Amino acid sequence: MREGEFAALLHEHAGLLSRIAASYEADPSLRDDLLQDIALALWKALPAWRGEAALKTFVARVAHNRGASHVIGRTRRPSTHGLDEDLADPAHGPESHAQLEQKRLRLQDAVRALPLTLRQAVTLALEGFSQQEIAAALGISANNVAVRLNRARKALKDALGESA
Amino acid sequence: MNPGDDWTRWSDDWQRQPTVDADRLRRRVRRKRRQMQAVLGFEWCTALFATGQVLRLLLDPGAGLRWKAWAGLALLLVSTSAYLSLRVRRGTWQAAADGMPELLRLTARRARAGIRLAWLNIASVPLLLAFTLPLAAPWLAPSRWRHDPALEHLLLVQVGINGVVIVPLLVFFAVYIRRQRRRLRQVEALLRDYGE
Repeated sequence: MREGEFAALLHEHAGLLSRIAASYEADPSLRDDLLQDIALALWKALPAWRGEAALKTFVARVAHNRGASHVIGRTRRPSTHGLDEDLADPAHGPESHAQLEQKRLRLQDAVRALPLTLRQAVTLALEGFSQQEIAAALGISANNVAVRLNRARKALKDALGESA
Repeated sequence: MNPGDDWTRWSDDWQRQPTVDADRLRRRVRRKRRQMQAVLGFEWCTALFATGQVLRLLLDPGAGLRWKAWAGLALLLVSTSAYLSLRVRRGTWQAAADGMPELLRLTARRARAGIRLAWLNIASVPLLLAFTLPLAAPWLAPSRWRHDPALEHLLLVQVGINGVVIVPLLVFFAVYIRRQRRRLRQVEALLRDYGE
């Protein structure tokens, strides 16, 4: 693969890759290393892509596989962001930037705390993948994906305090 | 609230995350690729050098039968070790494009191969000692090196180097085996989860 094509691919999917890496690693410097590993895996794996799945699905699959390899065998639990109380600034209305940021961090932590098998399906659902696309990316059945997403939704609602 | 609404709302929050600088990432990947090529080149050069030295000893008409037997054993150990290292790495990059269950099965296979390789490395130390010590026995007798300062110096250097290299290596392999076993247990649990 040529450098130019690879650069274009990274530009196109930078957001997806960043968010998948963030679902596996909270520490910014370790996340940077994980992103590098994911990009390197993409460089190596891309010649094997035959177009049987959409490129975005292929990219997500490689990124998740690398992310899973990153966390498998680790004993420590994924760290979470310490939610900074100072971020909340009621003076700027209920949807101020700080509050939106808090919501985002809380969601990120809740996703990161999910078991791996649920987390992978959730991150793809949050990226707008359909159940069939998630099934293709993870190599599992669409029914299996539906069950996981249902379980994950309940777990996320509990974690975010929205279950009432 | 229906499930679709939850996902849409969370998706909006999720996608507000900061994005990596793609150009910086591409430069890091290029640097990493070069590093990996350099490491691979070094490993090949070292393996070729070791094999060359052992072959030279095997073909040296001046070397005794015992030294030739030692060289044959060393060659066998080097080749087995190289074969197992290749097996541990086999499929690493292709697997990046497989589904999760396939990746997990490969991870389990690699962990088992890694454990075998580590055990081979650990076992090679007493094995090599068992072959080397009887061969070197005449030079190791105190009556021999006490009166030969050059030999005494050589033996001290050997003990120093081997002590510094071998002990940390054994500790490293023991830790590695423990880590791989932990990895294996986790992968097997995940495979059960994916098999639901």
